[in-house]
Amino acid sequence: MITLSRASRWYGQVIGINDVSCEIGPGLTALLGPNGAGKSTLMKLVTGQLRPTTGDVLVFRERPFANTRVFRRIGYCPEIESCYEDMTGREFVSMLAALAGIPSSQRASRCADALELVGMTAAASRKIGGYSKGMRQRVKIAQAIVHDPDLLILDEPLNGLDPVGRREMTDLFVKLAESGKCVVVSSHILYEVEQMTRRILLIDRGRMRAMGDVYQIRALIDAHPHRVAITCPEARRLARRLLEFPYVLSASLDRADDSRLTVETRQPDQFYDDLPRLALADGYQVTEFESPDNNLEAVFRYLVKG
Amino acid sequence: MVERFLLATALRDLITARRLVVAALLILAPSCVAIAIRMGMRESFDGVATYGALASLLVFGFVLPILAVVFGTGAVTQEIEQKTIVYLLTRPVARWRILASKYLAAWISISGTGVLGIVLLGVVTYQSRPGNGNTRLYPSSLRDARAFLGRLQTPDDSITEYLRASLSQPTGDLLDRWDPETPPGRRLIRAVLRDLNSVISSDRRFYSKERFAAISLPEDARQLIADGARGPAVARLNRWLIEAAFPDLIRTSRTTRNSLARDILVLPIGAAAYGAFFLFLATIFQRALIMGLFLAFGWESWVPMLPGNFKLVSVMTYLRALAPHARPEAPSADLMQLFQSLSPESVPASLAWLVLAATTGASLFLALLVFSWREYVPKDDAV
Repeated sequence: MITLSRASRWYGQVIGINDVSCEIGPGLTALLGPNGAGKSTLMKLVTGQLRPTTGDVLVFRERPFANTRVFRRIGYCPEIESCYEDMTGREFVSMLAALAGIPSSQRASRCADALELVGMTAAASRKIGGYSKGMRQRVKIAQAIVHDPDLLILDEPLNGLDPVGRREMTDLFVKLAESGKCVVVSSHILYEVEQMTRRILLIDRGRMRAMGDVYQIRALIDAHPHRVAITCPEARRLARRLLEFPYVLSASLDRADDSRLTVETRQPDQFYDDLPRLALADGYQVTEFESPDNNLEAVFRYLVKG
Repeated sequence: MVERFLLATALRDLITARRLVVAALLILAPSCVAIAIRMGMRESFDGVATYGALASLLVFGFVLPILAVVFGTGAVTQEIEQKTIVYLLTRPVARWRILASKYLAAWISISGTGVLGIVLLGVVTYQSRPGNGNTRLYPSSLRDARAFLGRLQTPDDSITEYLRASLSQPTGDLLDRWDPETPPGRRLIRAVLRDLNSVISSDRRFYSKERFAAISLPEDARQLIADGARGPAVARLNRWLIEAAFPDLIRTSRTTRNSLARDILVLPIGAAAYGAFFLFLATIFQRALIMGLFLAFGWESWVPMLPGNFKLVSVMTYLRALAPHARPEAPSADLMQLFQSLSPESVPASLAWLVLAATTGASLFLALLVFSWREYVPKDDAV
């Protein structure tokens, strides 16, 4: 449904996306990347708000820029928070349903259905100005699905939702994808994406880094030496004990503060299991531990180097 | 159906509480000034002149441009600033149709507000005994018959000489025999007015540049001269010329009603031209509102008064040609009058129609073209 061939988009000197080629078909695909990676740019190219600087972007085999034939089949949930603050949720969805070409005879019932699907029926008569972040997110999703599009482009749709809301919306996206639609969801949180789909596109600094099954990418991530910083009064002794584990690659003491220790491991899950056990058994007072690597950007850096 | 919906939505967007307050103030402002003048001047209040001055300076010169800037640019910049334009531009509606609806909504808002303002001004300046719109002179048209006939009896300038010479032989004899120390008889007045009325109704040679060189002609008379008065307009011009030549002796024939009717027609034309132009600005520039305000109150208020052909690059020049107003002459020559005396010629109405139509058409076309083609994605959150 979506084809990018060597598509690049610059904003003056700034690169939005750089030489991206990919095809996205039916089902749920997650677009994963840290903030500023180019996810929104890619979505704006697909939803016909931007033209590629070079290369080509095709949606339903057509160029999407200001193309009403393409827009008829697209539902788009932008990342922006601002909205028509004076409208009620229902008016907002109804207006966009009308612009999507839904005749007035069907509009009320289609809007009611969409609002029901996102769990906003109760608040639909209230002004958007008074909505919480999560409610805004829900009506934005409602306007994207109200005209039953074949392609759904959702830019960080889970931002601002509480855990229950995330769960509900994730289930909705999965259901829509299972009904044969092409659903593209962007996110910068790996955990969030893993709950939705196995098919992901990794994007970082404008480039497509990996494409495919999330487990493969997970494996890549796991192969990446994972660092854990530990604060413990007996850091030197703890370091010696930790180095006895086969999966611990290195342990180094902080030169400035000898109660701080940095450990590198290839099996973080195993390490996180063993550390508390060891601390309990030998009586180490671990006051703090954190992983500076436990975020996508570190993984991306690793993948880029690899 | 989508068009009607788009229009309704665009109108609703424009009519925010804040804009309504501004619009209400703009509607009321000229009338409030008129009421203040009316209360201050009491008996000597001249409704027609007050209407002309306020319609020209406040409604056309201030209210219309500011409304056009606010509504014309507001139609687009609000959506861009709030980023909600994304929702409109990703719907299966051609971009030009979205913008055309917004333009129509802006035009309705500008025209509606402007017309309300001018109608209200017409109401508060209304007088039951103004000019009657008739170009004929009646005995009641003379403020001071004795002084007027005295001037005709002993002409001391080219205008009175011309008028004296156009009197018929019997009327001339009657005038010569009259002793200016006594009040003129009804027969004399009737005879003189009959002869002058025949000059007014059909004499196309009454106006000449040399003859009226010393007279500061009001804007509406200058406009008729520029348009080359023909048919009934000849009578109107001649009557206005006589009024201008004897401002203290002859009452005005102008009526607020006639000016008001014309202004109600011309305001929407101005709204269309200004609205389209500011809409075009808004499709190109992020700071269209500020640029628009600068153009409306810098360019549009000063350029029309510049000498030479500079004034031809201002929309206001052409609007004034379609809706010229007779303003009362200020006792001291101010800067505006000085400028006006440097470029007294008006633009012909036919040219004004053409230029306004072209401005509206070209601005709207360019706005639709740019809007259909341009990317409206704010740079800061583009990535």
